[in-house]
Amino acid sequence: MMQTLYRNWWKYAGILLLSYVIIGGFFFEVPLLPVLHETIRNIYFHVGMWFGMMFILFVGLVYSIRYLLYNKADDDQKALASVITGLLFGVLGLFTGMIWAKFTWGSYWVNDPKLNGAVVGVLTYLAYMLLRASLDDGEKRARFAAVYNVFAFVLFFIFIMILPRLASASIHPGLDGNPALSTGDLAPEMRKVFFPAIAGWFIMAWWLFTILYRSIRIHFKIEEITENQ
Amino acid sequence: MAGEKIMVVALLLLVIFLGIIVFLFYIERRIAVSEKKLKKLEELQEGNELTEAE
Amino acid sequence: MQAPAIWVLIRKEITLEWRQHSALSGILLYLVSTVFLTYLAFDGIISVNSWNALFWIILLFAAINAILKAFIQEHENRHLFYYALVSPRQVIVAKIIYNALLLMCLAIAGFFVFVAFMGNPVESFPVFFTNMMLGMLGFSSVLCLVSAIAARARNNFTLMAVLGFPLVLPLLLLLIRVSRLSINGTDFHIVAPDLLVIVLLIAITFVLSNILFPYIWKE
Repeated sequence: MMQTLYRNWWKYAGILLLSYVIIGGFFFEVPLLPVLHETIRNIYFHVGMWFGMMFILFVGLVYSIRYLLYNKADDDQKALASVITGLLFGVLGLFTGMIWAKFTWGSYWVNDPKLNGAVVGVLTYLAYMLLRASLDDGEKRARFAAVYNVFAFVLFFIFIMILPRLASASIHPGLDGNPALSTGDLAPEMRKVFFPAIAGWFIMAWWLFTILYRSIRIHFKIEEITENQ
Repeated sequence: MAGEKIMVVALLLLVIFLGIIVFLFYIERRIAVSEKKLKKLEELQEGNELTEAE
Repeated sequence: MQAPAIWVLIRKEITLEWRQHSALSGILLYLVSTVFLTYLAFDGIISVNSWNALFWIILLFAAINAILKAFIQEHENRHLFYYALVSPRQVIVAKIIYNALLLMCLAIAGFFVFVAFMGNPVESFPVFFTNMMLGMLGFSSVLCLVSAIAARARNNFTLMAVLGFPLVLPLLLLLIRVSRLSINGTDFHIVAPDLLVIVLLIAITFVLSNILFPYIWKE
């Protein structure tokens, strides 16, 4: 029992961090800017989820490359788990973004390169799931999925990093760099919530990823056993 | 008035968040149980294969 | 040794196409009928922006149709033949180059058909043309790998479209942007950065295709 408690310390750290973020995010002082006003608080959730998504998709990229190099079924399952986690975080990020957009820009959706990039990302990874569904089980599916994942991640990354900067008219912040991350952007009093928020979302993403990976592994093992009999 | 509203919303979010956490821990326990069962099953299978080989 | 093998593969594709007339004529017909359909649907009156958007959407669909055939028509038995003779890298390079050439022919033909029905609003043609040719090379280098993946799965066409759309979108948006500028009569030196980004994108996808294709090709 104590061992489990000890082994799970990072999960408790994540829970504490995010609880702190929820309380701090709602009650701490924030600078009141025009247009944004109090909605700036959403930065802890919306941006945090996007960072969590990019982080876990990057993990997926690493596992896909590892699969192509070493051909271990584990890596394929890990890549699948991270794509599912990434999709979940992506949809949540879109959702929080839409609420934010409603209160600052006046409608749930505006035609903007950043937003379109977000949708394209979600579509890309839904396509990854479809690709897996339309190939039969086994080594070939894992290989093709890994190839697509590497290709898709690079193009998606190019899309969200380069295109919005090229199109000079975006109302979404972060034209010339990483929004909210560069130190000049964020008021000092917000950093004490923002950085814990990022850490908390990263931990949540990693935790979800491990849970999904374990359940996917069990699923595949059961299939293997029933096939053998 | 507005302060109370925010308090309620924040508490609600906190409760939902903690609910999700509890659910995640529950799922993790179930997964751990199935992992154990699966391990036993695999050991059993390996044993069977060994006896068949003999 | 490497360059001649690629050249032989390209020549083989061209010869096949020359004998069967399957891809080119089918897609040309497809182009003409879609353009005619849009002409009827829009009553022939169309704004410059719609002209541009329609042109690229029709080209995109034609490209997806054309490249879909790149790997499906390869007969299973022919694989063995390839393995013995050429490396996978040579195969993908040959496919990309051949399909780019095919798409360029299609794009030129499509442009003339489009102009015939919808009129020609393009003011600075050299920019428009360069952009179009680069675009076809880009479509080819993004979609060939996707086609190789989709050819081995169920629901070929749907899968090809679903996998391909999100991946060509960055390229497509850039192309549409430059194309719109060129229609308004913009000079080369203004769109140069955009064209450079397009070239970089093509280079990246080309290199990635080269790295990743061997994993799809081995069986």
